[in-house]
Amino acid sequence: MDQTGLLYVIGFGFAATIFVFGTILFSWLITHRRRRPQKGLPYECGIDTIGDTWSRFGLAFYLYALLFVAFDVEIIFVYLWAIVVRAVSISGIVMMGIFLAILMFGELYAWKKGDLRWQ
Amino acid sequence: MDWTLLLGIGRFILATTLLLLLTIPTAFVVIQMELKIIALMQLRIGPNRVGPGGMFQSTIHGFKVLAKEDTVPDQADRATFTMAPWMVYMAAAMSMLVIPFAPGLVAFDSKISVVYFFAVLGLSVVGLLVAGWASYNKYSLLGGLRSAAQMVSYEIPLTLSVVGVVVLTGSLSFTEIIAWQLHHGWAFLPQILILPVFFIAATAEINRAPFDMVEADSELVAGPFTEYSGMRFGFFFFAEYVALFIMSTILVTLFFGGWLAPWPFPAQLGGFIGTIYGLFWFFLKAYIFVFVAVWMRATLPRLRVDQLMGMAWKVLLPLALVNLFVTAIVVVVGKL
Repeated sequence: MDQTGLLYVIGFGFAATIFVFGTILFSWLITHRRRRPQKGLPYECGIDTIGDTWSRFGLAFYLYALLFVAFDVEIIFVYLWAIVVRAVSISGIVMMGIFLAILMFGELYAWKKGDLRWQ
Repeated sequence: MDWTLLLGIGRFILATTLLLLLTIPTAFVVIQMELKIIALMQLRIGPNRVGPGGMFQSTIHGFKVLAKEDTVPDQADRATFTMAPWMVYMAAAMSMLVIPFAPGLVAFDSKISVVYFFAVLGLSVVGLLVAGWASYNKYSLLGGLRSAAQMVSYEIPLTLSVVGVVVLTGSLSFTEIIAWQLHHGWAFLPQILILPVFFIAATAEINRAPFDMVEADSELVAGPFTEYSGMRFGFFFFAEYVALFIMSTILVTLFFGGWLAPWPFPAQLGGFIGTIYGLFWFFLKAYIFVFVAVWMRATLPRLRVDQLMGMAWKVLLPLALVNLFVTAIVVVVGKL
């Protein structure tokens, strides 16, 4: 089996990593550094942050993530189906329609419940 | 010594170097376009000091960023704080691996380059989320979470709108999609209904105006990039503008024939002249769409977050599905 493509991806990732960290290192070597206590504070209009930053946050993000997982897996199936659509013809289209209808039912449910509204 | 192995290694080194070096001038050119075009659209002169007509303003900005002090907030998570720009840049750079620039000029001619491309480009959301979390700043955290929700939502219509082209061409490879368009005409005509969906979703996916909620300056300072400075910020900036260019190239490849000229030309079949000719048309078409993106930034006001999130799921996704089925039925019934 031809593994050239995999080697390209890994090798290119490696080269890009060296490029990024090499540039950051080079910049670290040539810049001046003058550390003052104020520089380490989080940026917030001159006032110290109130409360912990790494605290709880709204649930809306989480719902979108759930919907995304369902649909992202579906897309892989749709891609595979799209290549062979000429071979599977009408019955394949009907089956994909049933599959997507079930998924869309889930999305309509989330829509009806008001989960697609940003709060 | 095995010559094919040596040739293979040489080709890999050449391709990698060229692609990595291409990101730098690309980012500079796109930033310069943005500075100058928006200035002209707002009846300002824009940058005019550095170089003829201010040509090298963005290049000077780039070198200035390289020489800036790189601060890390005291409470930030140092390891992930450094990783985040790397992740975002990697996502943009790695996706360049499968883009066909001209006949035969593609680093990695994969059979599933469409899937590879969208998978890798989608990884940048991880970098933004990590950047927001690691910098220990409430603006950053909110920006990171917003970017996650936005990019994740728009990735669905974006990838689904491409399926129409895949059904039409019967291939997941960019080079084969272009080869199909050489014989059947550009794919945007049969897919004219989905083109706006793809364009809107692509704009939102790379966080461009009017969907730049992630770094909404007036609400979140600079979103996940607030605490970044020096070259780490530089890489975020690089990645953002390179991603804009990459999205344009993909739009061109999928819908506007990639490196094909608008009229038949014998040199499209290959050879050195064909490569130069292909490169010319490819970059011309890609930069037309970069120009459109800049134009949109100068024209349209930013959307509200709730309007934005609703549109991805309630408008674009059903439209993409309808287009998918219409295309499939036409292809099967019409035996195309």
